[in-house]
Amino acid sequence: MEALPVSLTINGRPVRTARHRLLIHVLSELGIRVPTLCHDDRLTPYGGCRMCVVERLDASGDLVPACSTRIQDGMVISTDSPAVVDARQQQLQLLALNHRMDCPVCERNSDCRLQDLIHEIGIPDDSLPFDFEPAPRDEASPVIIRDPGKCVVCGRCVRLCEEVQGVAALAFLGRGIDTRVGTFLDRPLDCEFCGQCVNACPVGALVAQPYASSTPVWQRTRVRTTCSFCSCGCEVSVESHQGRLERVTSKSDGAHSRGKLCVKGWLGLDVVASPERLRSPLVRKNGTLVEVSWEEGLASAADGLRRAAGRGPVMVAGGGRLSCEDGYLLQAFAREVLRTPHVDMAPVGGARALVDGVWEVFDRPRSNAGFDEIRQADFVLVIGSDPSRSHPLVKTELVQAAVQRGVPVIAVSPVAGGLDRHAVDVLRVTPGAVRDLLVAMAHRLLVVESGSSRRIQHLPGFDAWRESVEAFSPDEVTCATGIAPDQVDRLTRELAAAARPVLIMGTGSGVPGDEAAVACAAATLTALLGSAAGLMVLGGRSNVQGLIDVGLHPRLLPGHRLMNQTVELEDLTGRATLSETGWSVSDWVAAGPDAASGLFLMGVDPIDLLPRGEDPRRVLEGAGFSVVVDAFRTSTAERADVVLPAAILSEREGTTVGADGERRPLRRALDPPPGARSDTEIVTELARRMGSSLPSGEELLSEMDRVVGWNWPRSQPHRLNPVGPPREAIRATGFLLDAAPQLFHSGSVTMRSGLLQELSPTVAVRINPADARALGVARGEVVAVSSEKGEVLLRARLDRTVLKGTVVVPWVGSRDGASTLYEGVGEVLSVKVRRV
Amino acid sequence: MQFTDDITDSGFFGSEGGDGAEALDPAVIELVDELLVREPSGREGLIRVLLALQQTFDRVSWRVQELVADRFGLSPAQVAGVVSYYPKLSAERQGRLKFDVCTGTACFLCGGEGVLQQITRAVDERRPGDGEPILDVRGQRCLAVCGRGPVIRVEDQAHTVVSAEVAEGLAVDLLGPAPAPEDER
Repeated sequence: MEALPVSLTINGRPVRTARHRLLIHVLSELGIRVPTLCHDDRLTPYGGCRMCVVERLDASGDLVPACSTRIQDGMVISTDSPAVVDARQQQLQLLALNHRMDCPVCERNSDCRLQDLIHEIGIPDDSLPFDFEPAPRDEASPVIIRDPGKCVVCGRCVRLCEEVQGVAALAFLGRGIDTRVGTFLDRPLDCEFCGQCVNACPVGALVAQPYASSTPVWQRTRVRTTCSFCSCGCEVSVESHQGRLERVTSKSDGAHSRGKLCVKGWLGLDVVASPERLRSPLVRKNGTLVEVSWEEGLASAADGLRRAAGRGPVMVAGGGRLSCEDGYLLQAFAREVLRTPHVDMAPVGGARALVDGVWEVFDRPRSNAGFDEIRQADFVLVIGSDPSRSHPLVKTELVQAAVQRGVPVIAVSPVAGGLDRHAVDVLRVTPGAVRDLLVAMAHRLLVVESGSSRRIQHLPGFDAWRESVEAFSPDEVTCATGIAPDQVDRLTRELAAAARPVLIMGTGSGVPGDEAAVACAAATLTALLGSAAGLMVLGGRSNVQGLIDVGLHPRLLPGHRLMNQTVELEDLTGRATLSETGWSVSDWVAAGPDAASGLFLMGVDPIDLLPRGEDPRRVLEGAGFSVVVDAFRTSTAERADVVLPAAILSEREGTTVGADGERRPLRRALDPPPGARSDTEIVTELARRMGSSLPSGEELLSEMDRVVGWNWPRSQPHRLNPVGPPREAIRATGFLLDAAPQLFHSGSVTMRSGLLQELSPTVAVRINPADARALGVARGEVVAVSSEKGEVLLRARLDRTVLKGTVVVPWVGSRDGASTLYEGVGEVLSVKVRRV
Repeated sequence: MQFTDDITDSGFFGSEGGDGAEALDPAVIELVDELLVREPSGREGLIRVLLALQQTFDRVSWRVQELVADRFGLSPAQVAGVVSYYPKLSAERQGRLKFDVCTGTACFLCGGEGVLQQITRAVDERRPGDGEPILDVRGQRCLAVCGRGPVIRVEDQAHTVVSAEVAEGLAVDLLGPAPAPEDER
């Protein structure tokens, strides 16, 4: 180890440490807490509030801000000299003069950094007269209330909005004493509503209107859990009081998400208190669903399933947000209790990419890059759905990489996205042609940069693969991809030159292209780039990775075991399982209405998830007997024979695995509504009633540790597969439909959030103003968006961020969404738009 | 991005209309794009482009700020932050002359408010039709000649014990007589 080169004296104590560090970090390591209002480790050092000043005794008593001063050899620092205390008191006094002191009625009472500092440091006796100039509160913005009368101009909101969220909706306006935080033209906020400004505000200058509360912070129950809206797996802190959700915040210490939030994680949790929540089991009697007791509901479900299993195959499916424990029990329930091999997770983005794409190349169906790799990357290529909509944490990491570290981020997308502004290059690839572009890059690497591909020449299947990519020279696929050969060349060269490149692949319903083929091409390209390169596949729901790991898949047993490894599994569990490959949800739907005699769906709404072309309605109605476990009366629940109400999101205990492959805890932060039960409880109880016993509690956890294993090494390339021929160039007529994941909505849960609907209604089509003008459509007018498969009526919202020739429609809507327009998943769809 | 008068819904970067109803003159867009070629990119170029625009138009209007933001890949708020920071830049047109009227307590008590109103009226009557201010009238607290109020300051020259009539006389000296109504465009 290199000797620590810098020596300095702090409060008379000699200290040796590494170069270039910030003084505040050295001090905190020594246990010296320096007061600060503006410092944030996620942001570029700023030095705005001057509360952290310390005295440099070696430089004639200069006062320097610890948060933005880098250490130098020979520094002599005092953190508590009279000069330091005096300076802090004076500074605090100046801040307090312009702060409206209505602490007793302030939201942030007892949760305020300014209040803390005044208690801690005090204001001098000869304080200046109170000199408060009132400024009006901004209550015009949705959700967020800005109160300049309390603002201490620390700028954490401004800097987070710019450096982390990449939106810069807030800015410092004016200069000197007149500096204030404001929006362009003082308009109401019109941003991504990530809530990070509110979360970071040290005082009550930014507060969330929906979380206005008279319950003091110290009376609330606070539980740190993992957010279940997407697969970023952010740690959130859920505050509640007497069962009521009070606030969602996030702390910047410890967790990989570093205190970041997004609109769904911050506000979407209001769905738990939705009036639409099911509060009692429902059983179909004389054609209608009627409320019954749990006893009757469970008995009907167990009885019906037993009979259905006797008649023929039963299909079992679980939603992509189930915990690992729920998923494990569900596959055990299917294979061991119902004795059916037909078990799958909901048809959400990412599952096919990992199992049928990544696993074709890597030795595990797992990504080999996570958030640490993004933070260390020197080149990032983003393909598939836009992470700024589907995976906000990934987006903030990419913004930080681009804005703070100058890392080149390249976005490959046929539609406009939130990353475009920060990307050094945006490639408008033809929809559905991402795979061809990736293969063309691999071809280029093979031909030009042969050095970097030496390692993979030893992989099985290399020769066949190399032969198959010969048809993919960049010149030949330009027609199909729309990307010029010299651009492909340049991009490939930059990728090959990068030391730690990361490929990020977003997934989700409505993303054009076959996700398995894209993921396979991306994994192959990653393998070609060498062992330092990483691929991160972003699952379309929070626990896609975890559910694959626990075997909620028709071709996989727990721990990525194949069907020929049942003996090994049975040895570990002591229970008999099945070695037969089953149907996926899509296989079952394709098999037709009479194929399954029974149906057990847990947190899945196939009608919302599957495109109209697959006709899930018809198949659901044809199923002999169906049990739906869900929190809401979904379109699928409407057609069920038994509906059992379940706990969701932060009402559950268990674990979940993020897109980065890390397993994180789900802790029960809120109580489910009376009448709802956890998925685990429901499955084990049904199994018990059907005469089997599934493990629970500690027993379940230790069995899962044995069976699943969890601690896999980083995935490595282990084989290559030939690729199919390049696709034909297609000519789009009409508008390109962009139904990829939306920032404010991810499906049937967010659709029921009042706050998210208020911010972004799902009954809307977003369209470029120029296109709207050409169509004669004014904002707010109803338009019909139609494909060969169907038509939806939506209100037009004009949006300049939408590319001309594209319309954006959410996959699911409160009436009907884009799903009804599609024939199949991954289809590239041109739609007609007309005024109604 | 187009710069038209469409009223839009949420688009993340301040996509609603600009100040007033007027669309941007294509010549302005052309000039901005020309400046972009000439000036360095990034924040350094931003200030130089804004200064050049200020010199050409006497201001950097909100509309132009939006355009510049779009061209630099910034949010309009970021550009507004820069414009509001530098005294040389302004969103509103600046007058060529500055007329400071003291409205501090002493001057106010001996008639400063009346002087301010008189001067404001006199200046407004002489304003050309296109609304371009030749002269900015500002109330100031205080000009530190409290014993001899009301005080006004015109281009660094202080005038003390000013009556409303004297104030109007100063305005006439500077701006000429009020134009006849038919001369107004």
